[in-house]
Amino acid sequence: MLKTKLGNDLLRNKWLYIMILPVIIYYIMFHYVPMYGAIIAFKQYIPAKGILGSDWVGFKHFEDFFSSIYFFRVIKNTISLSFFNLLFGFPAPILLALLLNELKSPLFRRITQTITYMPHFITLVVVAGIIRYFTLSDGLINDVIALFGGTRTSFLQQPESFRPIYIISEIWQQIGWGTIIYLAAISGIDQQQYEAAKIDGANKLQQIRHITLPGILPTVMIMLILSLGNIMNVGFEKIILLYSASIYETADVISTFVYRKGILEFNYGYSAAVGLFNSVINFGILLLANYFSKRTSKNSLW
Amino acid sequence: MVRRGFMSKKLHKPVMFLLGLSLLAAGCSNSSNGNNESASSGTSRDTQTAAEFSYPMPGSMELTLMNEQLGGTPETLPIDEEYAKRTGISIKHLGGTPMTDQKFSLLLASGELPDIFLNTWLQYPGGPDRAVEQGYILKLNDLIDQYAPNLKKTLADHPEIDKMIKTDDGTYYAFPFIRSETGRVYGGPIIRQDWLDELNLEMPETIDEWHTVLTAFKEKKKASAPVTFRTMFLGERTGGFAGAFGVMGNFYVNDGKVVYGYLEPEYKNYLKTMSQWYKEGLIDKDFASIDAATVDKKMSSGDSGATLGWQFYIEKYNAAAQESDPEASFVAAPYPSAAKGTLPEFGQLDNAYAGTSSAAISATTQNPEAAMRWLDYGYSEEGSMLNTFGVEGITYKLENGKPVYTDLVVNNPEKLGSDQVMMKYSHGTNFPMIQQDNHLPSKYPQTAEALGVWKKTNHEAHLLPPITPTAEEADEMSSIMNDINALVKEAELKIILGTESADNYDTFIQQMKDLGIERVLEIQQAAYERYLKR
Repeated sequence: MLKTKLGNDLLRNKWLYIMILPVIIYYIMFHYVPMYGAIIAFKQYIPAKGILGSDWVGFKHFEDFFSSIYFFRVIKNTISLSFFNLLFGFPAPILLALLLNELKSPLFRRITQTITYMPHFITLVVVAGIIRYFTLSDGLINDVIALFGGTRTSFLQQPESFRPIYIISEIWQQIGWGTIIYLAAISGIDQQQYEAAKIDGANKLQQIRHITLPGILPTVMIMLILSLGNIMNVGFEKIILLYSASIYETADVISTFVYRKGILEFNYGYSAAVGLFNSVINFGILLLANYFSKRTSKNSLW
Repeated sequence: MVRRGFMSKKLHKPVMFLLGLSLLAAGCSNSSNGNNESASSGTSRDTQTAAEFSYPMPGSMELTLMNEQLGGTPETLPIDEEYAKRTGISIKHLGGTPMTDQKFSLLLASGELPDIFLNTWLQYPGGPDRAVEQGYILKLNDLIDQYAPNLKKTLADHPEIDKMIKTDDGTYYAFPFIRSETGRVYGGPIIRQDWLDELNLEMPETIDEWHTVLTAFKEKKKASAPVTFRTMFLGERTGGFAGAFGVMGNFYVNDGKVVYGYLEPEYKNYLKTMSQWYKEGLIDKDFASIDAATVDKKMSSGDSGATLGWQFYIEKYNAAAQESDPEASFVAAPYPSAAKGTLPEFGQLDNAYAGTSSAAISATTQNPEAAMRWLDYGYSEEGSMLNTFGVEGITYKLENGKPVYTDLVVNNPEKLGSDQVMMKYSHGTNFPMIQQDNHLPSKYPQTAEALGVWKKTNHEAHLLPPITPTAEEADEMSSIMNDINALVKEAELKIILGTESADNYDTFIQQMKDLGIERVLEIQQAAYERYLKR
């Protein structure tokens, strides 16, 4: 029964299936097949011996990681950087999308949109270079501070200013790109609702609160769940490009720690162990977020 | 990435040698255009095979080669063609990667190593023995007997080199790059002589005089960062200002005992002084987070009057600053000492064999003999002449048995610097060979004088030779040192920046001890003693 149903479906929609085939192959080849490589987290992996030929070491790499004096610091830094980035970075494109939506002139709107999403296309190395120069003690930001009588400080050397620098630059770079999906969601809202609200005498703010926001809520929830699933992953390249030993206290995260230990010392097994640990936690948070979302707003990934 | 930049830069730039002896100048018999070689020049009596062999090797083979410089695949230079012509073996360059880059890991994982791989095998995690044992590179002992008469002779003539390049159990793993006596020093303090002259100041020699000079730079020359540098020059790659306090970062030897500089009580005094300097605005406010390009900019624009850097920076800064200010003159300053007339304990000095650019042969190579022959040529007399002075008739002529550079080098029609020309026609540095002094004239006399100035330290007495801990020891050490490396760097910077008081340094020392630094010292000491017994 099921077989014929599936067979019929395949036959009827064969073009659709052929079109999705490359995507399925991609996922199998590059996302599922490599998963078996995760077993090197439990091995003393030596490339010359191969993945299967290397010796098993059990949980040694995990024990090494958990017993490092920096274990709690890197976990704390990773989570707080991610958390604050989410707290300030997540609502930003939604706000911008709401503002853009209210703009009357389409030309002005398009120009603003283009300008705000332009930074997304600048490569990270250049962005990090810009940040470095702007935050020098004789850089632009300090020039402005000095103009108003403040004292000059070298921001990238102070542990307490790393998080703001990271998050503000992240928002600057990603805000425009992030609005695209919300603007699409907003344009899907039925215009009759706005007309009805206007007749009822609702002002702009009330329209936003009672029509636009509920209208894009499903999109917002899905985006939130997806970002929560990434909470343990922070922008590794950007941190590597910005940090120095003087701000390890706030800037050293799991991935940079692993980079120094695992990659630079060829300790692949160790890197794999930490990566696996990271993924498991991410997955847990994703499940949790999905569950709560399902309970509270009936929106979920599955 | 930024932090690795210096390595590639340092390695790219040929170091110029103007002092010392040329071991080769005399007794060199070379044919006029170099394509008419008469075999292995009398060094062939050692083994039978060698006696029968003569360059060029028949069969016109091609080998692949990688080095430790990041960047694209190098183009084929005249030196490569000359080498191919003389040895009969051509080389295909595949680019390069240092061991500290993830490209190296990927290369190992791919299993496709080049036939010849120039790298710092001494630093291979677990030691060079481990690289042999894991099946990446060949153990060369038997091959040297068979195919490398020139290297064999060199090692027999120079037991001190032989001792450095093998492991404790006598394994040879690479054709070594041995630096010449002058090539071992290549970095130190650099200062603006014209500012000193203008302010009527003597060249600073002690740490107090440095303080006076930097204060004057700040107050009278309005330098926003009187001295600027990157953190690796601060007691890590060079003794920097720490040498005056009788300490330096990292491991070294004090009277036959291996010590870790960061644990010494003097290190705290040194940090206290640096912290004071930072507070007074003498050290660049941003030094902990800047890159090489920023230092260059500050030096050539007059924001800074002094730095710690490599020799070729002098050439670079003079060229850049003199464009806008013809008076500008950067010279090498001596490493500061504690008191007038005494020598600092540390400056910058490498072992003659630092491990860098040494050629291992891949275990998967199809033709080990060709690889051995090609590499061995560099240790022959003709090979050494070629590597040092380039191609006879093109870059130099023999006058009274001594090489004299041609106009192509010293007065280049295309206005190229002599070092740039020589880079095409010779292997001045970073190549497996016994490096000789090439007496290459440099554009600015200040550059030439630098090495003599920087050499004046007691560093030699503290130098840790290239020891090789066993694989197990190396594993244990690297797992301990990983946390400690991060700890000391962080502590050092925080104290200098003033976010942590220097008095707290003791707690950091205690933390290092808790992490097991004493065990690391034990391992190093044992390896050092084994080395001495070789």
